[in-house]
Amino acid sequence: MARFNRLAQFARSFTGRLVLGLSAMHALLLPAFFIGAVYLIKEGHETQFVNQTRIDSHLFGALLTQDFNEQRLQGLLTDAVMGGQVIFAQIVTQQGKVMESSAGVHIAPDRFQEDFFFGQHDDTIYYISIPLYDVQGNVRASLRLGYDETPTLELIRTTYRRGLLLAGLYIVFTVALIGMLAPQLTRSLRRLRNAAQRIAAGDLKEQLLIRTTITEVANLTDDLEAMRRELVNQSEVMEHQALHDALTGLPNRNLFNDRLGQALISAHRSGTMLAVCMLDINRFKEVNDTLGHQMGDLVLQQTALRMRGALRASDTVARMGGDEFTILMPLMEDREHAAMAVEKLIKVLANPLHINGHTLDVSASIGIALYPEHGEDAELLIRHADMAMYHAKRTSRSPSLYHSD
Amino acid sequence: MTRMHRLSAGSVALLMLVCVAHATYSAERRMVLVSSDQIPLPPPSALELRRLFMGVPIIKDGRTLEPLRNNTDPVLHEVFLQKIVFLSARNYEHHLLSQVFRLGGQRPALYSDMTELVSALKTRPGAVTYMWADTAQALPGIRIVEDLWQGSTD
Repeated sequence: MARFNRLAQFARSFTGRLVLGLSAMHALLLPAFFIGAVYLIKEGHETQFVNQTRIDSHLFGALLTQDFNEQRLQGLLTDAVMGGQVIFAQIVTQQGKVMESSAGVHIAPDRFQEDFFFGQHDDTIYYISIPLYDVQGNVRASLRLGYDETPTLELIRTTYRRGLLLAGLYIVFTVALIGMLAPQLTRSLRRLRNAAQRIAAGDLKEQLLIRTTITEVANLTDDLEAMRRELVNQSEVMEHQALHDALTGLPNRNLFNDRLGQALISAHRSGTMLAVCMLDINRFKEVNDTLGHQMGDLVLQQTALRMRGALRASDTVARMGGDEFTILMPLMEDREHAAMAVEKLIKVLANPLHINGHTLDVSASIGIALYPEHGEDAELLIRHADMAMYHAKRTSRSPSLYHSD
Repeated sequence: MTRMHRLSAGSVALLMLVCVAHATYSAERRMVLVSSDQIPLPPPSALELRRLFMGVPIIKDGRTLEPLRNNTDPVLHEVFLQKIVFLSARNYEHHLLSQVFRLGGQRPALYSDMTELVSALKTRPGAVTYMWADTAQALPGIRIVEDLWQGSTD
């Protein structure tokens, strides 16, 4: 049953179809070609034999005509039989006299029967009769010759055998060639299938490199590679959208939390300090209410740009929502270092914004929490920075460093 | 005579009739050269006849003979090839074709239909062909010029 299933599976495969299709084609065409070729060759041999027999006998008859010296005729008959092809030679005169020479064949004059087709009478001898004329043109005798058909029959049989052998060799060679070439043809298809399965499983990293001379497979490979690249681009865009704020392009809460977690692990390992800042734009509601949400969006974008410019490349600024931002500053040496970095930021943000002909004087309230001083986990640090920011907002003194009071 | 005896006598008679019919059919056949009975032609010799059907022009009594090939019976055609032209069918065709290419003219007309052959014999002056004697004797307006061969074809 398992073997039958394997066979059925093979028959459904590309290789199986190729093998079966070519085999069926050969099974139909080969016998037709073989029978046709053998028939033509057989006809050729038979025609050649009959033609040679008729010409030879005619010339032999012409040679004997007008010479009826019995001794000489007998000698010529013997010579004819000695040649090998003629195995029976007989002259029967009008008076009934018989002269004969043969290689083991004897036919009574009244039993002689002439052949007109090769193989007639199934006796492997082609009998032919030629009239012999005298000087006046009268028939004096009848020359009867028997030609051996065996060499021609053997030639035809040999042709059959060789034809069968060649046909057999051709089939074996063809099957072997198909068996050898078919897996090579399908190898690239199998690789393509594996690559498609990898892509379907979400593995988009590996580039498709299938070397093949088959145009269709090469085109399919190119198409699949183009599809993989498009999927990679789309997934990168989606990943960026999932982790960044659409308005400012800054990291969002998720990415910030992730980076904060990583930074805390690193700080814990290296024993260094890090700062988490919460930032809120002062009077942002007024801008929104008086100049519209579009202007508010522009203010957020400009503020985000300024913050990025004022901070180190290793720092992370994220938008948490509305006009609230968080800043992660790893590898702080001490409190002063953190305070200096935040002072620099406040200074940059204190400069008025010039947007669409409006000069906007916006500043920011910033609260700072330090690791490990104000908390050792992300949640606590963010809460303490948030509390410090509200303190700064209430007291209008920014920045405000968290303290437990 | 009982019914059994009558049946036996009938069977014997039928058997004899079959034997006679077979003997008639398998009896020696005679191939003859024929022409239209309107034009008396002297019989050509065996050599002249061979040349005529091999494409060489033959004139008898000031009249050019026109050979017509009779292909209405394959056995007759083979007997003609063996007894008159001494070639196989294929080589005979090759010979006629090469004759046409080398010397021009036309191959002797080939007829596979007896009506058309007889019509051509009657309408073409000097036309001759070969056929079985019994066939020739049954055709009106056809004259046997000479015997070509007699024997069994079985």
